[in-house]
Amino acid sequence: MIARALIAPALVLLACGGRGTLFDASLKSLPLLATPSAVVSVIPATQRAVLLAPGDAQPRAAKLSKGARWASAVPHGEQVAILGGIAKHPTLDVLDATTGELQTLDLPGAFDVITFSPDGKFAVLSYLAAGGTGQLTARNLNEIGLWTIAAGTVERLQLDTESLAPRQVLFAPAEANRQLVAVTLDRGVALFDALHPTVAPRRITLRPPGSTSESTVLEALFSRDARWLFLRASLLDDVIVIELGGEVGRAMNASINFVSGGRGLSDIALPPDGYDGSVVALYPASAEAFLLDAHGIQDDNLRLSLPLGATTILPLEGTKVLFWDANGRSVQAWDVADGRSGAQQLPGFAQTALIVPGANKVLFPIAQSADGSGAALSLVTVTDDVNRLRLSLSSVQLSKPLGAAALEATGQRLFFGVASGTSVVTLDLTSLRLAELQLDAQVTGVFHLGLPDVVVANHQGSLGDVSLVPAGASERGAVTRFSNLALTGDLDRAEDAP
Amino acid sequence: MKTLLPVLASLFLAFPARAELPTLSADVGAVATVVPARQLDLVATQDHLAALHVGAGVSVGVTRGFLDVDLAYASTGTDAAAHGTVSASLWLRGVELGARYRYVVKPWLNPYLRLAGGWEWGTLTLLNQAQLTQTVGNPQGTALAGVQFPIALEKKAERAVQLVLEAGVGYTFRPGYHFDAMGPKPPATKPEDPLARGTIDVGTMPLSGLAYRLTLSLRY
Repeated sequence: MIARALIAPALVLLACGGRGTLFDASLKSLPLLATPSAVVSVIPATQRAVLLAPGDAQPRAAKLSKGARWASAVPHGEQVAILGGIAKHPTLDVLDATTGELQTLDLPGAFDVITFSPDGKFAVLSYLAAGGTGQLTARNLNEIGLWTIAAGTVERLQLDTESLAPRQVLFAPAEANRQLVAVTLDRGVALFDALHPTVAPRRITLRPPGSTSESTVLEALFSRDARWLFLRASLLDDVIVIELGGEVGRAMNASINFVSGGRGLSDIALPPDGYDGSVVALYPASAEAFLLDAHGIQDDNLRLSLPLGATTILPLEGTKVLFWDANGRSVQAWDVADGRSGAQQLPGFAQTALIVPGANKVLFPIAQSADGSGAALSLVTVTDDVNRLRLSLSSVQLSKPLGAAALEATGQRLFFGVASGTSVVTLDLTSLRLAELQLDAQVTGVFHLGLPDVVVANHQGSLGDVSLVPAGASERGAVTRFSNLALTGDLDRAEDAP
Repeated sequence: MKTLLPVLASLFLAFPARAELPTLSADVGAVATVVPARQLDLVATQDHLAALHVGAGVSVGVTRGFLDVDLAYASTGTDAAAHGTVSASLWLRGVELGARYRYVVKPWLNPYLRLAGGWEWGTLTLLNQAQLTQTVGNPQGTALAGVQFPIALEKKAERAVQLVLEAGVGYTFRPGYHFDAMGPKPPATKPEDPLARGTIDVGTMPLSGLAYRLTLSLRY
């Protein structure tokens, strides 16, 4: 009898469950994001975002929709946008990084990427052809979503072009009563007004019907007054100039023109202020740059010979432009107002160029100086001389090539680490004063938060590992390091268990 | 275990004035909680959290039975790989004071009801490079119903030493263990210029659940 009485509870106890799957998934996060006052790590596997603000004692977790696959900070705000959901029910999560408040919007398509307007008021959601169809059998890549951020609405727009997929989304400068958006595609460009999305997009093809042209749009630029759209296309030396009508709330007029300069067009850029009816074009094959008149009037074009070679245009302040040879060591400046120019030789091949906002300065990270002195960070400053431009070169020697870096929004300071290094360095771009702070782990990413003035150093580690450094600090006592960020709130996910 | 019981038995038998003492007991065994909460999966591969239990107590006679009061210590540990990258471990230990009413149906069959309460400490450790850990203290309470099977080890003694087999089933209540400040272990030697380390809140691990107890006691 006793044995029988004991058998039932024993069986119940033995039958109790094994381990579930709640803690099996890898916690690989999307790339770390920064808003002006917090850093955000999105962890798709746990449907969580971890928010860390310098003033907070601890990171906080916020629940997201399933399947987060792409995230970006909304410009000029504290919001983070996260594309997620399942194929049948795609969603857009809008997370406030300061409060943790979440708003989830239904999407008309499982888009791959979001492009924000510079003022952070609109965004275009689009597909990437390279993204594949995922769980879907077919996708209409001519479909885009227009997100009006303040209203919290996403509208579906059909581009109806002959091209397969968008290549670039470009917002024009905001006008009083319209916000033009250009979507460049393989065979042309589609234009629409974000303030009047019900008006059908204006489609402009670069390959007329019957044409065998294989030209593809590579780059697009709106003029500052949103009257012109400049396109650079493959296999063409001409800049394609589209003059846009001023219509609001109805179909837009557009006329297309081809403007020629030299040979081998490699880059186009906006002209300095006051030259809105023109575009700067660079031609390495004929070693020259032009300020091309958008109307195609050849007499109004300005030309600069570039004997040292150049591949990239870097617009500076005022009426100055810098040309950089990514395949060589030379930089050349041009003042389009009076034709003055100047040149300088970098100490080695630069990896990239960082334009310092608000100053006629450009930073060039050098992996290996030609004189054998190793890596360096060179600052080129363009100043006026009597009848030419002077390009002053200041260099800071680095122990290893530049790694992660963040430029302060005001352009006053650069915060950086070197490849596989464990220090965060603050470089004052006016005085070139350096402040270095040794951390405890390799720095793989650097972010500058404006509110408060804090630098976030991201470290290697699959569970999230960051150090918060007051900007410019050189004392280790000022630093706080947070490890295993991805495990924040990990035990509070039981409701997610299957 | 094999050596402990004979030693305890010989200590009881060697006591010179055992007739004047209250009934004493010492027990050792397993006390387990079956935790249904999925949070335990962070540190365990199954739901049974079995602890080694050692205790000692006294008994006084009451109406148709005995009241046993005992003080015990229990300790358990479990670990598992979490998220494929970190080994997570939990060490739970504590002391409890228990009271049992034991009804004597037969000399060899004593069903009982037992209530106990105490204080426990839970230490959660994440064993990766960061080595985050935190110890949280919480009260606990257990209610059990079970049965004891006393077996006299001496045939003629007035107060025979008894070997008692015990099995019980009940429920253990514990407030959730909130590991809200997981920080790195302090280093053995303090570094010269340490960085401040922040803590993280990993959340709450409920550890209440069905309890069962299997012990072996010596009673004198």
